Amino acid sequence: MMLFVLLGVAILIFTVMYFVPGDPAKNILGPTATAEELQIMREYLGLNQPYLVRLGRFLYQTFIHFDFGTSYMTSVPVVSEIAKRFPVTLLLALGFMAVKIVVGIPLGVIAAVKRNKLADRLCMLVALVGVSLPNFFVALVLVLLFSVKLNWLPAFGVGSFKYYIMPIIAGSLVGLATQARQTRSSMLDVIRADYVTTARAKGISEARVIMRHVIPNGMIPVIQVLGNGLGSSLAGALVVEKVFSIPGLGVYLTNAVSQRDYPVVQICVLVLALAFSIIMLLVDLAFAFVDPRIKAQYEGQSRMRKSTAGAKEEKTEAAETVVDGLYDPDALYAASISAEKRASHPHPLDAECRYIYVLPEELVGTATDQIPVCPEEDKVAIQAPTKKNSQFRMVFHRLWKHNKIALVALGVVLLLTLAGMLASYIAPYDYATIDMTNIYALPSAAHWFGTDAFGRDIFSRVLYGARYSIGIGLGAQVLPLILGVALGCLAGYFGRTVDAVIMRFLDILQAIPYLLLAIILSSALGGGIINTIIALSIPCISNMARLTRAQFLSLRNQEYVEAAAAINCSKTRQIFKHILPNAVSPLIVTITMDIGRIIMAASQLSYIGLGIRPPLPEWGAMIVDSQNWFRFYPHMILFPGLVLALVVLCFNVFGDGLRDAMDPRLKN
Amino acid sequence: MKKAISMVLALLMIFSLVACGGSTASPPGNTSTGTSANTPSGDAGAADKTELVIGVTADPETLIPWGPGGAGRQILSWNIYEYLFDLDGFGGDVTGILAKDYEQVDPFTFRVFLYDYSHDANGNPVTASDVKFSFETCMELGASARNVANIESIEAEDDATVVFHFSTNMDENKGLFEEIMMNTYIVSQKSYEDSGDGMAKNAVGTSGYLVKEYVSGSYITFERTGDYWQTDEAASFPNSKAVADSLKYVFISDQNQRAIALQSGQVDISSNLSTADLATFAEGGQYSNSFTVTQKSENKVLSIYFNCDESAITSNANLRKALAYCFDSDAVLKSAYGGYAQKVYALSGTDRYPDYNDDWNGRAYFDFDLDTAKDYLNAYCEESGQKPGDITIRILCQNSGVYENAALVLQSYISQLGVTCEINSRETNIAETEKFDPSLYEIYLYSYANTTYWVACLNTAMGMNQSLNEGKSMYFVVDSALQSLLESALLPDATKDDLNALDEYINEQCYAVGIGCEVKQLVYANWINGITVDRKVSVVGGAADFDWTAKAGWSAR
Repeated sequence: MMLFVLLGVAILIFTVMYFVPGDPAKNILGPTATAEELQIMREYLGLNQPYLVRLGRFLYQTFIHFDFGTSYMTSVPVVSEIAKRFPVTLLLALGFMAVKIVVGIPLGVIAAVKRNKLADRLCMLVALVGVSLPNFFVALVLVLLFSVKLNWLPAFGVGSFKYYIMPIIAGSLVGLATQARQTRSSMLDVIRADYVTTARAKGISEARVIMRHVIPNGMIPVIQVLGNGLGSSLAGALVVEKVFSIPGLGVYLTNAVSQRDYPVVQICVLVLALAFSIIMLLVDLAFAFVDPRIKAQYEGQSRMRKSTAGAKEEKTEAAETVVDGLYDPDALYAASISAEKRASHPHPLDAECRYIYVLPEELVGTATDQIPVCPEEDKVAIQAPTKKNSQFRMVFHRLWKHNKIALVALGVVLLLTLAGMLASYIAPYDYATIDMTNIYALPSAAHWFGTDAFGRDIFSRVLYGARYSIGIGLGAQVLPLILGVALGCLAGYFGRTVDAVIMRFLDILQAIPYLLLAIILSSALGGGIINTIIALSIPCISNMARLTRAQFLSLRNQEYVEAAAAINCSKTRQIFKHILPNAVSPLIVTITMDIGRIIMAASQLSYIGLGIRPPLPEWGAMIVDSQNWFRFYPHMILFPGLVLALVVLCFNVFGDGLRDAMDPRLKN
Repeated sequence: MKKAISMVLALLMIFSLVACGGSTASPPGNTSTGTSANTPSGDAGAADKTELVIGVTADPETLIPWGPGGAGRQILSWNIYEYLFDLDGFGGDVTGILAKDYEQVDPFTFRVFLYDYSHDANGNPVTASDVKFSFETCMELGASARNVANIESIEAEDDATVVFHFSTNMDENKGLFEEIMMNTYIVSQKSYEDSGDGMAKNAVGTSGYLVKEYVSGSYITFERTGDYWQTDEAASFPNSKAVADSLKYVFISDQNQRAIALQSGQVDISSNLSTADLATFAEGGQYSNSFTVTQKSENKVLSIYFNCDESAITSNANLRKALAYCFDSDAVLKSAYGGYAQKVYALSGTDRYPDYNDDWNGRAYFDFDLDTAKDYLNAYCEESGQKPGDITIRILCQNSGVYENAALVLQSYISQLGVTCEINSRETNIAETEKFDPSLYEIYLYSYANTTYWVACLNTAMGMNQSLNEGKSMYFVVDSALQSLLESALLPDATKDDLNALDEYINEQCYAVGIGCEVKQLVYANWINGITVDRKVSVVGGAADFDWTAKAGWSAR
């Protein structure tokens, strides 16, 4: 399977680079080369051959001969350069991971255990601030503090351990935040599980409950994120490498993309994809070590081989035990509403008492002994999604009742979006108007946020920037929503061959880390709003498709879907009328949380010299444009930086709130 | 749980081990930070060795002598290889390095006389056959050696005499011979073949230094061989000096980091700093007591080139003039170079070229005049029937700070004409591709330079036989009168009048407008008495003059 993915990645990256505009021969020969010289060089490099011939040669040399070629620009064998640079990048990535483990996981655990208390708020604030600041900005601030002011750490380069301290801190903040949030979420998933309640009921100390029952059962998604993070860090380290002049793979690859050094790009991407695949394999193997359910499953299978009948009795007993514990109305509620969640975390009740989770909403919270037994023939009718908007009303109600901060965050986002839309009317100046007589002006009544290096009004640019930054964040969700959801629907609904084909395609797409794929696509497509949105959205397709597929897999066998099929409802209608509306909640949460990530990625593209180009006032680009001045005119970077951080923070806070509100187990 | 904890601990252990292992490469700059710049790095035995640390913008990526001419290679190759001839300083005279002299046999043939005792750092002699080998290999590789394509054949008459036969009439191409001689490095064939990688990593040249360590993307160090072949002081080329025992070039792409590296004492010399940072090093600045700032004018002239293809609206001279008069060069230079720039008064015109006419300095040259610009625009509108609001001008440029910043100001000025102006900033290679498509832009913003003559530089952009656009100039000009004037000015015996006529015609037609050239600011610690730059204004570390004892008490604070 790994070989298949690598082959797919090789074909994909070759194809992308083939169609990328730009001519390596021109780069080699310089701008004054004649047509004849270019022709000779292209022939020498084999660039004149047709696509299929070149592709075949590349695959043959790479996979059969293991000949990875030499760089067009440097004439150095690609593999020897990668051999030097990959360990540096790996070291950084491992450093990021270590910070995530040592800081991120404890933060998440504390936040989950102290849910809705001050400790939770503080931990999540730390995490969210981390995810809301561009890493190149954090890096420069760290350099200013620890290298220039305190003179403790070297500002750049590689060497002893201290050279890696600032790069690792700057590069791990985003991952740390993700890790902490995932850990919290994962812990919350299990912290109110029945077996945890049972353990508490038995009088076991809270610390032991957390260490013995909560953490082990919540580790799976944590490890998944950790593994994903390590894979992404291999490519994501490039911004940090650039800031700190670290000779890693990221900088090598980025330069190669801009120079159209095809052999370097192709082999680097393959190496990263291979590393990513191996990490994912190791993650899968790690599950077997840490997840008691998987262990139990293996043990159960083992026992089943010995005595199938005996195992069945054990299972029945277990189910009855849980039913006994469901007299708590909260636990009953948990078992009744969260069909999606329950599908991904199978519960013994599914097999034994399926009617419970088709409970009408008005009966939610009622003790089981007061629930009327549902007649068998009415089950489907009861479960059908008759109240389309009720869930959204309920979510809003919960947010209003329990998480007003999330609503405030939503309000801020809406306000800034509105400001961006109306910027032409409310901004005091045009975003592009230059006044070279008034550069670097400090904030004043005439210019609330001051002016930049071109004398442009920063306040007006920040307002217009909302249009572009939030627009990119939202716009980049369109393609994943259309294509990702469509692919997920097809894979999840039809299964079998369709599923296999789509999943393999998604495997290939996912094997290329997000930022790396975005960089390559951005370079291929060129700058501008639309191209940037496309470049940032294509890498999101895979996640969205996988999520949709998972939802469809859990919903397609539900009674109401089977009933719809039984009455000859068309497949299209089944998908769009019955399944998709019920699968939409997790997609909304994912989209909300992805917007912040995309806005941040757009700023990273700007830092690398891609993405939005001047004079458009995208916030990330404004920060990048001002970074050379931030030590002298901090206002130039402060305001766009604050607004960027605020919006990303708000999207994340709202996303977190939405997720909690949509999770019935966290009702209280 | 225990296993999970074990795994975490194991990973941490692996990480810490790897981190420790990473210290095999020595750090850039000095081995410790901050004031440690005062302490020579290295082992005890090396305590007396002098070392200069230079912060540069780019990595050479490869050390091959004739590879693609990236900025990093241009900066560093001088420390490894030497040419046959070079200019003795920026804007100076052609002087022999490996060659003593040359003679022109006829318009197509030149004889070059070599020093008969030159050798490379490996001790291999460099003879006429090595020169032949170097040029032929360069031609074979094709990389960054466009001018060598003019060589028809090379013969080694004896060990110290090489004869070049050209396919181009050198009498009609002023400066071309020098250009070829000054852009092809000479290596020993034996060393080249022994290197095994075309000297990509194991580079050996004839300079006074040898590469000691090259960490791609991080730094490169050179160590003085102590056996430089040119022992005759009088004949020694100024930039070939090898004063410091070792040189370390640290690659720092981030502009902030380059300034911070100077301030924290991690590098001794750097350039390409932001104007705000420069102010801290210049007189009256926070670091002015510890650093010296010196200025060197570039000869790359930032210019706007109009797309003159008949399909483009800028094929109309009135529109071109409207655009030429509508912007203030000073404002453009201020945004592009932070004001560290010099306005020019002719296309590609700087007084660094020997054939540049100094009389042009200070003359009226497309001076900012919005009324004149509007008059020309109205004339164009009358001719074309268009309204200003219907006109869209697209500026194509590379996505570097200089071009983008200049384009922003140009856009602002052009908009004052009521004309729509868009900026299309592209990656270098895409911009270089798109400029050959006349449907994609009206203005191309670029800087050309030449080693030898002003007219040779003009010929690159304006000559109709110089580009991929067959029969047209790089920017689609088809003008026999211009070509004729260029050909006259390119003759070795071209007069001042020929050059004036060419300049006048280009300005009259307004095919392109020169804006200005950067005045490069080089900052160095003040225990260094003076630095030398090559003809491309890159610091030649080995030729720097310094007082090593003064470094002991030096601090960046």
